[in-house]
Amino acid sequence: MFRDKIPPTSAFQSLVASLDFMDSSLLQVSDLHSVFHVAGGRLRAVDGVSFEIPSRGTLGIVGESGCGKTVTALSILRLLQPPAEIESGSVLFRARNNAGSKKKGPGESEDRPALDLLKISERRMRRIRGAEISMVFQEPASALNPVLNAGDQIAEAVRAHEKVSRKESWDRAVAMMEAVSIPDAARRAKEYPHQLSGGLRQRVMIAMALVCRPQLLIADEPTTALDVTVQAQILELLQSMCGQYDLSMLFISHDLGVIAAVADEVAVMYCGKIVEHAPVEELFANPRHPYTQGLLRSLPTVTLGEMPTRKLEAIPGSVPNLMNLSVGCKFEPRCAVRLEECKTFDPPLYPLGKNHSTRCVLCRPT
Amino acid sequence: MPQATPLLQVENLIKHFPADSTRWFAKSKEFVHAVDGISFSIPAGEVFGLVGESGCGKSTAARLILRLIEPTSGKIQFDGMDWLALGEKELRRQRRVMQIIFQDPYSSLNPRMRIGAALAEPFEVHKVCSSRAEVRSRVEELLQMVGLDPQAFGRYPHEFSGGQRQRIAIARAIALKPKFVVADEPVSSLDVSVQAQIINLLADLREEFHLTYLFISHSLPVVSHLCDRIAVMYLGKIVEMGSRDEIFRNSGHPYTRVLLSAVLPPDPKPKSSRIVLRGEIPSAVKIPSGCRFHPRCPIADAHCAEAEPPVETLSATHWSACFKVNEAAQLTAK
Repeated sequence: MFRDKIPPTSAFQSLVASLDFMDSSLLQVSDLHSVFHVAGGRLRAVDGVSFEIPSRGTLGIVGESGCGKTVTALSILRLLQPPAEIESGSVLFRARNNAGSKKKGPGESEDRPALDLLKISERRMRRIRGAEISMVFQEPASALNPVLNAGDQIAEAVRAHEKVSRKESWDRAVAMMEAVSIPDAARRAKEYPHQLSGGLRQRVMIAMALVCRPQLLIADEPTTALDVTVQAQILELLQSMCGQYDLSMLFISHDLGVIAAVADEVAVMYCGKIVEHAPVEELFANPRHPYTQGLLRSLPTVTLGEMPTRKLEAIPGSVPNLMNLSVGCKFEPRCAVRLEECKTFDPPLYPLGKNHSTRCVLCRPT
Repeated sequence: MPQATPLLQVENLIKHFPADSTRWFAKSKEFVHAVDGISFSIPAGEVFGLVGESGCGKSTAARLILRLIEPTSGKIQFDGMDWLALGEKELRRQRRVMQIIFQDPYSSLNPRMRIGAALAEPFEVHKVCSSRAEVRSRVEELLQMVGLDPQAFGRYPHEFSGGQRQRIAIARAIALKPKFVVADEPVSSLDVSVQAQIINLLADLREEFHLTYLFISHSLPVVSHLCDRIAVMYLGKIVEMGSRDEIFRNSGHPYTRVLLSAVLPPDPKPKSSRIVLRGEIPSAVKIPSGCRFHPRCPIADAHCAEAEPPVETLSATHWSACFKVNEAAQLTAK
């Protein structure tokens, strides 16, 4: 039923896309549109988003609440529930031939076929979720099942994808909990989520996500609900896991500091669109979109031994209602450097070289 | 800016909550040591920051000062009054000079009340206006002051964004021209681009009304922009207090250092310069012996587990409760 809604032209589009689907990338999202059916029309939560996640790399998506970053992640996993729906686009993913088997060497990646996750059957998709692409959510307290102990929840993930005994899956769960540095894992595995602290719950979530050795981890604001000292621990854990398990990561956050610490490449989202995309050093050293610049300037920051300034430069106004967006640039009403044409012209992503592109007329090549 | 006579003086304030509340009549044997003896004073016109992780007792301290809950023991002097000795009637009258802004503007505004009515309430409760027309004009004035459309009084809270709601909450707090405002995490639930707007609004209002703030936050960067003096709390106690410059330039407590190094700057270069702590904030029911930070402290030794550290004076305005102040001051992420 899902597949019927995709217009016939997208088959051709995805074929074209797969031709330039680079060998180095694991996942390629092209022209993704996801909408919410609400009273009064369609709310375009994700409005033509394209990006690639390189193998063994981390793409950070940064943006404010309501910009579509979570809907993008849920679309990739096809977890959107009505009234939300994927309208069009493609998500090409280089799946392993045999989900759940030992990971393949880097040399074998080329001959793995690229699947369009939006076209495969739900049954096939279930074999991908958790085994090849898994997700860590923001609020571990509500993402975990309160009536199952930590070990059972992780073991359940193993048994969902592999034919193993209860005993073996439990042992795998405990081993994974040890791998994510949960002290006294064998005892902790028998505890229920409410007995665990916020940091430990998030570690259990990460253990559950990684126990089937996925290729891609989607982390949606994994540290937002945690204290700063615990945030530092979880970020360190995620980074070491990426190195250890050859993981690629899609890391979603509203916090530019966190993104700077973990991402290799960054996409800045605003009102359902990527407004700027660049390698992380380039983005922070040379932001080109007025929204990125504004975000960086409005950030209260301080580092040890350095003096903070008194007044912050805020971006005026607030994120507009997605239901009545202007035809022009979505940031125009809040933009400090807007031109007359921004009211009516919505610019595409202009390439700036060095893998950097931005959706602003001021960066239009002449 | 700060003057000699403190507007608020808190002395050895303690709040212990019974920990086994399931047994109704039995005397509790265990207690949550939410606030475990804190002392500070805030001169008129100062912004005093209280920083710490969740569960350190900072919000309990705020509620104690407002007398929304009663302390187990301790002293609070406010504006020359023995604040804890005030009777209920007198307290109600005096409360207009002390107001609070809560963290979550979604739950602190009544969803069924038009904002005009919500903002008129302080004037009605304290009977400061003689006519409804006067109330109306005061409400419009307030809305303008916090940067909202004065014609918006007929709308409901759900029609506003998070930042706008927090502006309404601020308007309500300053309606009666208080002397003292407690801001309990006023920007933590807001988006980055809006956070800066609210911080700037609080700074402007401070200038305009000569307000004194107690600013509570878990985020040192946020506190740094507004506060003159900062106290860092850990597990119910203040571990370090000093001027803004002293805390940021040469803090003398390992916990403050850790908090500062956990701040992630929007700069991808120094990727490895973090001091990562082990473990999490322990339960406030079973406070660790000696220095309560010692189980997580990167420089603790056996002595720290035995005795409670004394207050080490670092300057006239700066102290730290640590045995190893010198070592702590050297603690940097390498």
